[in-house]
Amino acid sequence: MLKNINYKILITILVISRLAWADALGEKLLKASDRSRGGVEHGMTWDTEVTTIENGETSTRKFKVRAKGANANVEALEPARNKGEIYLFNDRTMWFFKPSLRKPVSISSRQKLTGQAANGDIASTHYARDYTPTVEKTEMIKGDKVYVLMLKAKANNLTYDKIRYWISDKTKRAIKAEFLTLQGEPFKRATLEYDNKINIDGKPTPFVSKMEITDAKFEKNKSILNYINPRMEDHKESIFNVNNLKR
Amino acid sequence: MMWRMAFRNLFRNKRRTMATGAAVIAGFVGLILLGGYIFYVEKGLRANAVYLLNKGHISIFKKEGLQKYATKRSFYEIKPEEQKVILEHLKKYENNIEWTGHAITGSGLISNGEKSVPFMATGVDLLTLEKSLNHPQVKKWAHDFLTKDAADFVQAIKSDPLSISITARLGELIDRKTPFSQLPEEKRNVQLAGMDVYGDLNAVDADLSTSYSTGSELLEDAGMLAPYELLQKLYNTDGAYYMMVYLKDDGHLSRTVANLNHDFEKDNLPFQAYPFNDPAISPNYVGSMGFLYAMAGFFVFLICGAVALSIVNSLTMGILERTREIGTLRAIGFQPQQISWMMTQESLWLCFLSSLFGIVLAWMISVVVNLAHFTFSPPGVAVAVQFRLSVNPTLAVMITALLLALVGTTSFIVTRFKMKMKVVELLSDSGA
Amino acid sequence: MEQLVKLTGVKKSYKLGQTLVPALRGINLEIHAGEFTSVIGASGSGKSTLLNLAGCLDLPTEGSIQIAGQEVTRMNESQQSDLRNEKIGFIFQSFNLIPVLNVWENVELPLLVKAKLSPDERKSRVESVIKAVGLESFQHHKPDQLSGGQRQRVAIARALVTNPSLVLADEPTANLDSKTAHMILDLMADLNKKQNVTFLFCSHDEKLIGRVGRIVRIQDGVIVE
Repeated sequence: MLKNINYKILITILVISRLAWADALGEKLLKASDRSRGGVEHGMTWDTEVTTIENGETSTRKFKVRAKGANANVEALEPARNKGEIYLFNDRTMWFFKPSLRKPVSISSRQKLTGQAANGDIASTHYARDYTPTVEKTEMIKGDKVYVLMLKAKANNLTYDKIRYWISDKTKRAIKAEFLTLQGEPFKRATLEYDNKINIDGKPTPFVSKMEITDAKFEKNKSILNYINPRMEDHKESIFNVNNLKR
Repeated sequence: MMWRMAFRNLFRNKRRTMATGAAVIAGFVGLILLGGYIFYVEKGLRANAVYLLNKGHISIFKKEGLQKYATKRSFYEIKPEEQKVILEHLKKYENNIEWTGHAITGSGLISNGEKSVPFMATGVDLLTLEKSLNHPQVKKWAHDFLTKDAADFVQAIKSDPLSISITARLGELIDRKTPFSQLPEEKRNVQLAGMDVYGDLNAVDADLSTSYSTGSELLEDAGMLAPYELLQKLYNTDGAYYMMVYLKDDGHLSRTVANLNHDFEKDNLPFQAYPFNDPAISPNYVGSMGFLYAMAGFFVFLICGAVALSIVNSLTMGILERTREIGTLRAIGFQPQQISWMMTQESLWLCFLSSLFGIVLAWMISVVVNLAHFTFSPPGVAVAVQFRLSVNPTLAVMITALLLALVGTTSFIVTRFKMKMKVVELLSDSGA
Repeated sequence: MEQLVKLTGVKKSYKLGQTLVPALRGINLEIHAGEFTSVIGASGSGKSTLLNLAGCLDLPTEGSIQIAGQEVTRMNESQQSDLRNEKIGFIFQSFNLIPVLNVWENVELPLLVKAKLSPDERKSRVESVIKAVGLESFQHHKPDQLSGGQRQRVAIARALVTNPSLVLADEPTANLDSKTAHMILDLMADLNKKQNVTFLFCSHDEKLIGRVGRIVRIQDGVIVE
């Protein structure tokens, strides 16, 4: 009898430990993958060129992204009519400003930036901060083991409610994502490439070079985000202060 | 003499005549007040849709623009040169056109510098705003839909082109209370952000000036009225979403719209005109009126049924009491249909007299109700409007005609049915 | 003399539940213009049925009825109404006046069936018959303001106003006292004599027999005399 109870307790402990290990693994993987997508404590700068193909029409936009910790300052460079416009990310709050405005406008990271890209897609990624991961399963992709994580938003003002996220066990980088509706249906899919290199703590680290976001229903509609010339660069805190955006 | 005889017959059984008359009067008063209420609401919603919601009597869109403008604004907007072409085509109808205007609509976020909430804006040219807000139809029928400071909006734009008017509820959502004009300048200043025609986020400054009501419960949380040029600037365009045509007389609206669409089609122009009462243009008007008409139809059915039953009852009793008299008339040569008609004349007399009495009674009730100043919100309407009853002479004549037709038909059918008895049987009736 | 009414082999039965009750069992009768005829018989003898048939108010079960040369049994309801209006006048036992109409209007009523007469002609006819029955000073009175005799005079005037070929009277004096009954009968006889109006009336009052020109006695649905 006593043996039987001990056996049950052991099983329970094992299951809980396994779950705790899975959650811990998910968080670890997410944190590591964020580093290759700008989610670092150091100051960083890169340019993002967004090419949007929608209903057969192609348009291009270019932004300069300056990120540091939880903050990001995204400045529109092209086309000329948008030059000078600034998207400011303070943690999960986002602001839009242009020089003709008296005050910045609080906007949502969910809102469409252009094509398939949401405002939140353009800045540095902090999924480890914003989402709770669960390891769903593992898959083999091109001979590599890949963890499939289900990310659930910690707050309701985040860019997406749910994300299915594929992270390579070997590189600890995200290679694929599915952005899901509240009902769990994918409405956008993304693939990521890491051909850029940055030096973090003196170590050359691969950095995202391309993200292709495709409409789940109309696959011809897509946005390609090219990350150009990423570099470590310290930034003054003032460029992330919304009060400095006023005319 | 037959009419005279029919009239005098009304006094033979005064109690029954009065009971039947009371049923007809009640029915008449019910119909006339119901009709008067619907008439008033229709006029109010019409004035609101045409003038205050800036739909015009006719709205002209780019073909399919009504459905697709929001997804592909640059393709479905009406460019300035296209507006000229439309105006050229409207010249044919200029005798009946009071004025034309243009509008742009769009959604976005209104920000108070701390938080943003969604808005649904309509940008309208100054001429339209000025004429609409002061239009006699609005003053007569839709003044309930106007906020106290609504009429000040035009003056506000003239002195500050960034002036916007928003609903009080939208104001509350960004922590701004009405009257906006009394807020400090810092608080009046807001920013509007929205997707421009290129699909990029854009934003402009704006100043809260007055409040207004969309009239629709669905839109009241997000309603915004803005100068045409300000919304054009926000959406980075020089085009319009639609053009409005305001008619002097909207009696032949459907025909005018059909002719206009025919003209566009003939000249191979990609435009489509809609009347204001198209469900796609004024869903609130169409929905509310649809509900009211359905409700009215039900009540008309009930009232007419009650009136018809009273008449059937009264006539049946009358025929039973006067069987021998009917036999006498048949004996001296009257045809059954002549006697039916004579008895129908009695009912028509009763109905006509009851209607006259009913008009007076309905008028008295309407005066009392209007003086009592009850307010309510019609279905789907955001503002509280006064419950008004009006005794409209045309409507009274129409309802009298309806009741006369109903009573006449009912009477004729009932009496014809009863006239099938043989003359000799009618004459031998004991009168019991 | 012109033959006005001809009944040949007329039978009439009524259904009383499942039983067929014969009212007339084969009547042959001719009435000629200018006659003043009374049908006499006991109650239930069939005299009223005979009058109804002769007045085109009912149709026989069997036999032929000709009124003013027209076969009634072949007529539709509308034609029967027209025939009654144009050729026959009726006087009823209970007067059958329209209570809401005054004397003048009651008399005028049969003339309104067909709009053939001008208002002037209508007026002259009504005036003349009211004068004939001696009610000139009562023409604006309603029936309930008149005595029984006066009411029957109005009924006679109404029967005469269309200048009918035949006037049928079903027990015209039954609801009157004997003095008034005689006066009414005198009036009818006078009209027959002076204006050659043909009268056919039925009565169970044997006392009146002496005042009529011709008597048709009926018993159990058969003419016995």
